[in-house]
Amino acid sequence: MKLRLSLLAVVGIALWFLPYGLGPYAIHVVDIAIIFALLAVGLGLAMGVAGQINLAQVAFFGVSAYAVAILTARAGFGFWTAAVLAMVATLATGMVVGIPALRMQSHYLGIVTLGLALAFTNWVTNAELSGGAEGLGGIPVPPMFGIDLFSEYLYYYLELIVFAIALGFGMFVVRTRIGRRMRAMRDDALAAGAVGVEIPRLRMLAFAIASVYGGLAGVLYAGLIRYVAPETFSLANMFLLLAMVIIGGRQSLLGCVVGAVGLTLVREALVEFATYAQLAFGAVVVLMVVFAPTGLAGIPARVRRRFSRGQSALARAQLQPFAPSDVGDSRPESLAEPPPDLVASDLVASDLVASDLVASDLVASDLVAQRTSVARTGAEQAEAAARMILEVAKVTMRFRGLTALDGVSLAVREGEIRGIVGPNGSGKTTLFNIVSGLYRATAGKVAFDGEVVSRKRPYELSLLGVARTFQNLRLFATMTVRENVLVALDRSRTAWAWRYPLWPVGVWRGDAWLRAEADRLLAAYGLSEFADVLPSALPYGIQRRVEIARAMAGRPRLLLLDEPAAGLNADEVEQLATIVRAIRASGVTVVVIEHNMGLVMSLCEQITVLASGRVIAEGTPAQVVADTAVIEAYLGDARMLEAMT
Amino acid sequence: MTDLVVEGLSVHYGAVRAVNNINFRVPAGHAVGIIGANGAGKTSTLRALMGLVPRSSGRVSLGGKDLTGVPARHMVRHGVGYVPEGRHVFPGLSVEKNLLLGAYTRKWRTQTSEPLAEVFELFPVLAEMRGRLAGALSGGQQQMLAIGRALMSRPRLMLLDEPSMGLSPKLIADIARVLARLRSEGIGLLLVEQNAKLTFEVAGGCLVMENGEVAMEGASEQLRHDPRVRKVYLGM
Repeated sequence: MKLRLSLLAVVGIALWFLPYGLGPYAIHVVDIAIIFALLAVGLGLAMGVAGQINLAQVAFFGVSAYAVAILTARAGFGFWTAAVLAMVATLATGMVVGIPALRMQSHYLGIVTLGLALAFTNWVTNAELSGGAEGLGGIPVPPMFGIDLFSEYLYYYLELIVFAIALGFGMFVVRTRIGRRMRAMRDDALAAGAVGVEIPRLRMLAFAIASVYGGLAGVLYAGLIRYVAPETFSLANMFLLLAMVIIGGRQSLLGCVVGAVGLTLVREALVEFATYAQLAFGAVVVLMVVFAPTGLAGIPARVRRRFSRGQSALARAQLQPFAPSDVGDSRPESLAEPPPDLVASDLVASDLVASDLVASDLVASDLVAQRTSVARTGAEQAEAAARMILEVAKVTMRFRGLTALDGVSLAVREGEIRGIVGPNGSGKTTLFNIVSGLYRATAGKVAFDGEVVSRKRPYELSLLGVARTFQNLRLFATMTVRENVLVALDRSRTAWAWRYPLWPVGVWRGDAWLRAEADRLLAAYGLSEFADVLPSALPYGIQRRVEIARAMAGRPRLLLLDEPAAGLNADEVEQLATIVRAIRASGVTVVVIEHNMGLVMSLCEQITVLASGRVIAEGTPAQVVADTAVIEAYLGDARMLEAMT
Repeated sequence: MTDLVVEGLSVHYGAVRAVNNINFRVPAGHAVGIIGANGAGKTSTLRALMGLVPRSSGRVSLGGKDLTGVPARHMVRHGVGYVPEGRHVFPGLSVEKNLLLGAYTRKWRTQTSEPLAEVFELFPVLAEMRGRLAGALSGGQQQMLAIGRALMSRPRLMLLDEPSMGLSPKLIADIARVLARLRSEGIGLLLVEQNAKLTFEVAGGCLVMENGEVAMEGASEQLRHDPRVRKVYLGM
């Protein structure tokens, strides 16, 4: 930390004294470089961090610069008034450009944003308002308390301050909640949704952030050059910007800055050989993508990873035993003592939850009332009083002619451990996908705690209290084990983003609290040793446990486990059983798909057997294994069963 | 004559030894199992044999032919079939295309139709789903597809990493029968499994790995009755 601070101080001082050593043209080049660096940071945030391909960054830049030009030169506004309005206009543009991202991703999104950028250049080239191909001049020098910003030397300091704040803010975003969720979304949008990340809003937010950086760059450009023309915002410059971000390293904001400054200087040096410079940029980009996909910024990390693997001894490490007491404990304690800055939003949140609960309680108690009126004996009454937390009613799922589920109904009591078994391809995972909102059932209804949730999205279900693991593991690949857990632990919403500009200290404190909470959770699951490791470096069985810890981090009320014992040996299966029992003891209902019959028999009170998309049996473990239909469809003949499981 | 011989195999990730100087052989028509806890180095061993992770030392030969420096993409031509942990089927291709890719090294249609028919006979459900995208199969069906794909090249040696993962008890029994049949046809099998019962059933001999080393080895019958193995791997 000390080293970093002193390094920062040295860089700061060097940048402060930089203009003293530069001639008038050199300072102009540096001023331009800073503007490109701002643009590159914005693009890096949208593309590298949030994974949203954005080829409209140069258009954001243009909207802002043109807005300043038109408002000052044509409408007679003062510079700073125009600048504020320009920022608003750019932000609005960013939101509009972000709309397609709700429906499409990757290269499709690239094409759409490119189209929007083209539309912008066409408009400014042809519209009279924007001065056509000749461009628009007459922008006043920005007034600044008597400091003459006509001097490009003094303008440099304005840019430097704005840039330092913008970069610091960007790095702050990346390292805290919003940025972490964006990275999770980039790595695996589906798994991110399943742990409660509001995918659509977060995508919009990524574009909004990129547009703010574009807007700042545009305002600074307008004040510096005081003249705007279409070619500044052309596609050629968009691709130059893209090259800066890719060469520098799109996942690292500092990398983006290095790329932007470096390429601006290189371009300046090669200004007499413009054609060859273009060719060379293209070649370098291709080489970077092939040999160093994480860019210049990624190279130190790649080297470090090579060696740090050795120190962390993770290949040697084995699963630590599970500390069951901590799982139950973490809940009431953390609810009782939220960090001070969270109180306000939590109160609002818990109010909402409370009203939801009241509503669903009414429904549930209605159901209970109906049942009790029918019930006669005491035993029946006791059973009826137990709440159904999950009710699946006649759910059918068809995929293009294949019926994966055919009128499946089941109800799970609160606090139960329910097993779901069945032959491969019988629709077990499909059922989980429907309950967790990944699929929408063709017909039928799913109710969670009395509320119909059939049409809810995965993140909505996650926020209601449904968590799951994935059969084939979906951990966020470029995030450490701790960060994987942090994404799920963080229950703040995207709307919470207002705190970033207005109350960053609160964001920072909240994050420190989250980290402490994550470390406790990892310790409880015996995963502390792996906290700083990427999941891909861990054996399968350990990755499975990370998935369970991640699912539990969201404090769910219903946990869906898809083949949690796959890839575990008998000893590890024992530990898994302990974990699942402790999870249930903390008040969470568990539904588990599993082929390890030993585990299912010892763990579950009730087992539902699916075959060819239908429920063929349901009952206690003893009843189910004695069922001839189950033996025929699933277990196979008894002798082989004895030998194999 | 297609014995797999492994001598002094080590794998390092950075400074840590994931696999430390292990030696074993898999005679033609025999099956050898590797069991051990998560993190013991089983998967690293298979991946190193296949050339998917760099070996830091050791020699590998198959049928007397040295395969030490052969890259992964050429191992298939030398008669090694590989079923990776976690399936890794090609989700955007049909079941049939996935299988045909397994026979990539076999040039002619006549050479692929026969193994294709055999795979469909082994796993009838794959024949039913031959036109469906592999990504749309259930987890267990994808596992069958991964095994079938490895068989398409008519390997002399199969490296199987957790073939029973995600399969129903009935299918695990089927897999045991399939593996026994392959063995009887003279194919060598190296089987990494968490299901120790399946391993003991299929493999005549087993290695027990711990911390990257071979902690125990012996005939399956003998290991099956070893009290330590019973407790840790059989849960008794």
